[in-house]
This record gives sequence, C-alpha cells and structure tokens, in this order.
Amino acid sequence: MQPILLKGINGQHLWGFLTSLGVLTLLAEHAHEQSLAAPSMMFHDDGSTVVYPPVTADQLPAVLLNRLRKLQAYLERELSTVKKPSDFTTATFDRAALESEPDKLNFLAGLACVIDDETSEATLCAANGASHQNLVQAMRDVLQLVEEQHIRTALFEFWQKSYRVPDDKRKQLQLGTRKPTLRFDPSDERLYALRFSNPTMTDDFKTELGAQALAIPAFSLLPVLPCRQPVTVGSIRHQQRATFNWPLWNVPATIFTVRSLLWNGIAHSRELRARGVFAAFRADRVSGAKGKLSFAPSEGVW
Amino acid sequence: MPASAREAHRLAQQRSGYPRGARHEVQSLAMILENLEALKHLWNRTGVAELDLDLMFHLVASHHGHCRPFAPAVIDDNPTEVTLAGHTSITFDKVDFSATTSGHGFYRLDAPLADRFWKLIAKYGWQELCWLESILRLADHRASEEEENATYPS
Repeated sequence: MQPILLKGINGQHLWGFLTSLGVLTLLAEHAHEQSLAAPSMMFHDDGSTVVYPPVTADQLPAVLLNRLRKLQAYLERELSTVKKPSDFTTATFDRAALESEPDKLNFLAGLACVIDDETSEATLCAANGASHQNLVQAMRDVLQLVEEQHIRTALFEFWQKSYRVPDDKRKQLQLGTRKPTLRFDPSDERLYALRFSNPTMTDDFKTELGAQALAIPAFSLLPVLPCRQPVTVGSIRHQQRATFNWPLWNVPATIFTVRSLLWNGIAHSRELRARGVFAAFRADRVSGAKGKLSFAPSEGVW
Repeated sequence: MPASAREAHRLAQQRSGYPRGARHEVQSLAMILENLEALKHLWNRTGVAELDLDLMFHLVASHHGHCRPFAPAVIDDNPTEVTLAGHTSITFDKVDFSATTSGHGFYRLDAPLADRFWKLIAKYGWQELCWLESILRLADHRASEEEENATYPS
C-alpha cells in the first residue's frame, strides 16, 4: 500500500485527531467489507496525517463518502428519535443496540453508556442541547450536507473553514438556526463580545464541512467506559472539567493497534516513545453559562 | 526473591547483554518466526493436520500474561543475538533455533501482535481465548514444577 499524505488533517488539535480516527475507521470498514488489506495510519512531526489505504488517493474521497452514507442511514433510521446522547434511556439504548448491525455497536458505545437508569454521555459531547445544538442531530445535519468535494478538500488541503450552509439547503433540510458542527473546534465558542458581527442578527457560521463529517465515525473507536464516573476512553474527569488525551505516533498502526493504544492512555511517556509515539496532547471540555459545553484549544502534554 | 538473588539476577542479565525488561516469551516468538519453515516441516511430521499459527504465536507470547495486546516496551541500545541449539521436546525431538536478534521490536505499534490478538478475539471470543491461554500457562507451571522437583528432590 502506498502512503497518502493528508495534509489537511492535523492530529495536534482535537478536531484534527478525531478526523484522522474517523478516516481510519471508515477505511478499515471498507477493507473488511471488500476483503482488502487492513489500512494503517501514522503522523508526521508537524501533526499531518499519513494513511496506508487499500485504495488510491483519487478513490479515497468517494470511498469515505460511501461509508459515511451508511452511517447516515443508521443515524436516520435506528437513531432517528435521538437528538443527543443523554436522550437515551435504558429501554431506547437497549433497543438501539439490539436493532443495530454488529459493526454499528462500537459507534453506539461511543455516544453514551447506560447503567441502570443513568445515562452518561460521551466526554466528547459538547453539543448537549444548549443553544439548540445537539450532537446526534448535528451528525445527521452534517451528513445530509456533505458531498465528495468537501471530503476531498478536508483531506488534501489546509482547512480554510469556508463552508457556509447555502440558504436553499438550510430551508430544504429545515435546519432552522442549527449549525453543522460537532463543536470540536474551539472557535465554535466565540463569545458574543469578541465577534465582529452580531450573531443574533447574522448567520456568519463557517466550517470545514468534510472534516466535521469525517470526525463522526471516530466515536466508534472511543467508547464511554461504564465506571463510577463514566468517561470516554482516553479521558479523565475532575469536577466540572473533563479532559481528553491522545497520542500521536510515527509508525504505521492499524485500527486494532490504535484502539488498544487509546485505551492505554498517555501516562507512560518513556514506554510510549519506545513504541513509536512521539507526542501527546490534551483538550479540556469546559462548562460555560447555562450548561453550555465547549472544547478549549488543544495543548501539548509531552 | 531474596535481595542477593535479585542482585545475582541483575548481574547475570548485565553480563549476558540481555536487555532490561525484555521478556523471554517475546524472544521465543521472534525465534519461532525466524525458524518457522523448519518448525512447520517438523510439525508436518507429527501427523496432526491443522495448526492455527496465529493462535500458537499468541499463546507463546502471552503465556506470562503479557502481549494482550502489547509486548512490554524494551529500550535495547545494543541488540544481541540469541541462539538455542539442541533443544529437545517430546513432540519435535531435537530442534535448533538459529541466531535471532533481541532487537525484534515486537513492542512497537507496527508489530503484528495487537492485530493478531484482536483477530483471535474475533475468532475464539474473549472467554475461549482466555481459556486457551490458561491451559498453556498451567501446563508451563506444571512443567517448571517438574523441572524443579527433578533438580531439587524433596
């Protein structure tokens, strides 16, 4: 397999890292379904992503979009009544699990875990209903809007975040004031006072739509752990603050290896460096007014 | 382990050039892979038809509880060659394992151990793989026990 540089996807920030995980997840699903060699992935020192996929660079955007369409169908069918992970009850979560194809169970486990009657949403959920932004609904919105060109741009070009929902699309899909974002980008949470325009009067939201879409399948690799204070794999919680940590590595690793690596955490830097991990990062999920959640800019840990 | 034995162990390791933290079972896996064709030939002579190579590799590497899925990381600045000549077993009779480097890198993320582990989980399931690992671990305990009893009869 020939390596392909995805210069648009930078693993040094949370959104970029989740986008790279999403790409690997989709490629692994494609390879499994088509009985092709398993893809692998690594990062350059500058954080850019390199994949070893069983397809060519030209084919890559179409292959990824095809897999995203399957995820979209799942979100619109089995999870049609769910707007955000905390909407799950024991009954609806169990039913969704029973009705899901086996390959979608990991995704479900990445959204929430339900113990007894208590639902714990993913640490990576920053769209929990505040400001009318709901994670699962936002996933559906993003996947309805995304097209092959958006994927191509997100993979191979530096992110310009220039996509704005066209008025006709907004009307056609009945998006109202909803924004097509999973809220992994810290700039999603710009305080009103720091903006040039009045957000209540103007629709100036722009994003990298392809990257929003590609980050969605990353949830398959990051289950919410059923423990006393459930958190997403790779995360820690301290009072109101939750922190997600992740490593970057410079040797090709398959999805199985990456899954195990994420479970191991970033605490043992000497051991991880021997394995091929060269850096570790973290992003805090912080709580604002009226229960609004957002991610702070990512920071290097080591 | 008494302090004097620990010190003796440390000195022996230092003098042999065997890297600190290295696991003999991971080295065994490296040696099996290095000598795989010869071992396959010996296996065919036993007349037992089917051999799950992935399972065998995993069981060898995991029989002290490591390699589920990662092998312990080893900083090995001076890799050394490990040889085992004239090894005898009931199944294979006499086997020679040719020189194999200790710098096999099986603890790295691009090593096949994690893939193999998850492949076996998918094939055998969580519990059955544990069960198979347990059989080999207990067999290893009994074999060690027999060796010790033969060396130091009560």
